[in-house]
Amino acid sequence: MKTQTVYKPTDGLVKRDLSYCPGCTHGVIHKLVGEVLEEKGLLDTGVGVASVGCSVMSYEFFNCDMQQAAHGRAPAVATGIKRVRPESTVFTYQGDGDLASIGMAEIVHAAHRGENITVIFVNNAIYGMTGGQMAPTTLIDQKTSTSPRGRKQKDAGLPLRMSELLATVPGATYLERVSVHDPKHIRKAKKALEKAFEVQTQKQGFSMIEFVSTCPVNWGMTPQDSLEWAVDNLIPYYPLGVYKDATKGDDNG
Amino acid sequence: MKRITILTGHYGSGKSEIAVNLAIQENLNCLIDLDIINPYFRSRSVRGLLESNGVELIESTIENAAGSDLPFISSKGSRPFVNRDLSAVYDLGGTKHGAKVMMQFRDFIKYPEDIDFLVVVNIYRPETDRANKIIKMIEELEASSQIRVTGLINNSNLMEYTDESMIEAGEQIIQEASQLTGVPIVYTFIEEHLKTTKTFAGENIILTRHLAKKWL
Amino acid sequence: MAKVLMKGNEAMALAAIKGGCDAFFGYPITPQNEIPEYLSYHMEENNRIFVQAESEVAAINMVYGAAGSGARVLTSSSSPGIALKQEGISYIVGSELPCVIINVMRGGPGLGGIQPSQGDYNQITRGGGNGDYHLIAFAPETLQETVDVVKESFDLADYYRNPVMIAVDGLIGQMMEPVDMDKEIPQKDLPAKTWAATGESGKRGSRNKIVSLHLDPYDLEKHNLKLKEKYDKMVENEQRYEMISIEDAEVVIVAYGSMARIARSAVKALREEGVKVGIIRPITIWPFPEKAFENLPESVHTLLTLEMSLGQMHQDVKIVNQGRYNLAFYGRAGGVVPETDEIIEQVRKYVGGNK
Repeated sequence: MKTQTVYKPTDGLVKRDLSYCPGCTHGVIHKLVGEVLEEKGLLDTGVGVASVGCSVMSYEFFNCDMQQAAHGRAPAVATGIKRVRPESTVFTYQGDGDLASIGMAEIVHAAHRGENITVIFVNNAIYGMTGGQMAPTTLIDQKTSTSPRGRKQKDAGLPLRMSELLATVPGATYLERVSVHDPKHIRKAKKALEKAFEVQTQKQGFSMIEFVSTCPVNWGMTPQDSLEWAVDNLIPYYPLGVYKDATKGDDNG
Repeated sequence: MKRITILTGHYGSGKSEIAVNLAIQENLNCLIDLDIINPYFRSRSVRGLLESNGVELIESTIENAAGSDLPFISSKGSRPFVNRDLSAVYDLGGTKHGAKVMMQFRDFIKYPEDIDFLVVVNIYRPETDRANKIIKMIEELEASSQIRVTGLINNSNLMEYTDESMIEAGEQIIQEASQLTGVPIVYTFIEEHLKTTKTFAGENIILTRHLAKKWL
Repeated sequence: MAKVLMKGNEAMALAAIKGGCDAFFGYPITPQNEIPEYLSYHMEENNRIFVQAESEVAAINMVYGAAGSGARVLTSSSSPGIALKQEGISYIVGSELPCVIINVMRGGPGLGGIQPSQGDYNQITRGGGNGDYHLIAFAPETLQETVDVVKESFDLADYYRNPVMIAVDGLIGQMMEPVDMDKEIPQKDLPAKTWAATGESGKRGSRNKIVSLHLDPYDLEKHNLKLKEKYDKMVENEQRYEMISIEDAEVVIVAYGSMARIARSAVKALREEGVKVGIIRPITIWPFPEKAFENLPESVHTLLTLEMSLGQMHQDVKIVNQGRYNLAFYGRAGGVVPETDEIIEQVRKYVGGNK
């Protein structure tokens, strides 16, 4: 019987099972990053920086050199690597607690210096790893293990929009928010990743792709309901789109 | 010497020790410490010695804060520029970053003819070990202070290891810079321990170390 | 080689360049600012990397990244800034990466002051960050010694794959002294850094991971025991000290850094009057030079610890003493530097004392 390859796993990921929960979009995002690294021939020069959060073990999954960073510090670690290895392809993979809370200074200043690195930011509006606590990106009235009555503005402020915030940083080059809730958006997200890594290979500076993501376990929903909840609740507050593209000479976002 | 001497140069060139020596030996009315670069070994740390010699110390706006690194400059620093009855030595912090403090007082400088702006040079400091480096430093100091350098001081030394040949080596290199710029050597400072009978370019002054502790 | 007159901080910065430092990441703090200032100018000139980070925390994490990709890396700071760096230092140790850290100590706790201190002794010698670890920590006394150990530290860090700290008080950073910047120093035969995550997995044919996470406690214990073997080796091979006028001493001062300089001038004066006093000067404060205390002459009856802190090293002296000698302590804190006469007076209290 004649066989034809219609699908194969990417060489961008190590051949082993991912550790993520069923239905979590980390899996899809990992695959996209792996595919883009493979297709663009960047695995051989890649250095990924794993962060602290559910993706802490991503150094076991991406099929290139990897370094595991302290909580929030991935952009600083990536800066150190890229400065001494300018020919390498450096990316960080960070969640919303890591990037938008404890690592706020590091992400803003990496963007501010225009570090030639690519940041993969996975925003699911909650701390997954530590047990579903409130994140800076948790929505108003969203219940978490540290906002049992729902997040209230008077105590915890309003959810932080990182792509919009970083778009105000003059040094940033490319910022886009995407989602992976259906095939159409997955294809679009891959395009965004391709663009982000092109920005780096063309030495144009700092790029970040923010993924609106889910957490079925800590949200207490089925995977399908999680995707729908993200579409109905997260995307309206975190609209998809390009927030800054200075590659076209637009440096004001 | 002119009524006002402003000392500048690279850090570690010996400005503060020279400022204290000049203030005491020349019976000046005041020493103005404008060093915003060094946190230690500043002329303000010998307040008692200066006052007992009749020298008024003008330093920070925070009284008795010798241990502070807050770069507060006292407005009293402008007095000698406007009052022709006062003689003074100004001790600036090292490099062009220390010299730019003078811009603060630019509008008070009524009698530029009363001022000597002197660059202290020790050729055993790697940043000023060649005539071309000394000239580059003079240009930078003039640019950041907006005051014309009027003289050079040969303070070439390796502290207690100094000998006459080192002062001579310094004189040779500084003389070269002097010829190329037309700025004269006005003083040579000689370490107290040397007890030399030789004479060197400019006025020769014996340097007593007041800021460095004996065990340093 | 010819000597030049250098300021301590500037000399350490130049020594780092001469020691093969590829990259510096730091943040301003008094009294160490001449280090980043000097390097901001001279690293670029030597085609090396200088980055002023947004914080000490970021700086040490940049060090972690750059060291992980195989570079020789330096950061410098002063006490409160070193406290901030502890997170990164612990990761660097856990991942077995080399780097050199300069700590120009000032008075604490808190914002404290900017005058010289030795108050970070416990933090430096007990690890400093989370977990069970140590750093080799040099506490040099002269600028020549400082320059020499800075240069040597890059080799030592690579050799042990562990950070090395240069712990000087602010006086060493700020003082001027003649130095030979090109004095020969011992060099180690070092293997290639085949473990580094250089972004060359293609060329290498395998991927490298720099990680301090070990989720299985047995695995983590094994890792800790492996680190412990390194520390044991450091204790065995890296204790450094100087014995000064010990031969017939009754009282032995234990002091390091600037405090040793002051002690030296006190001993000189006391010896001129025939007072039998000597100095054990630790050059490494970790490993603590226990060997120096092993075969002291019969004449010794008292160990007098002197610190610009309030009895931190004295604890190590107590441990090594094992009840053999009378112990005494004198220290100043907060940036107060004792005068030679103060030390002379302290020594006088113990000479002719009971054995």
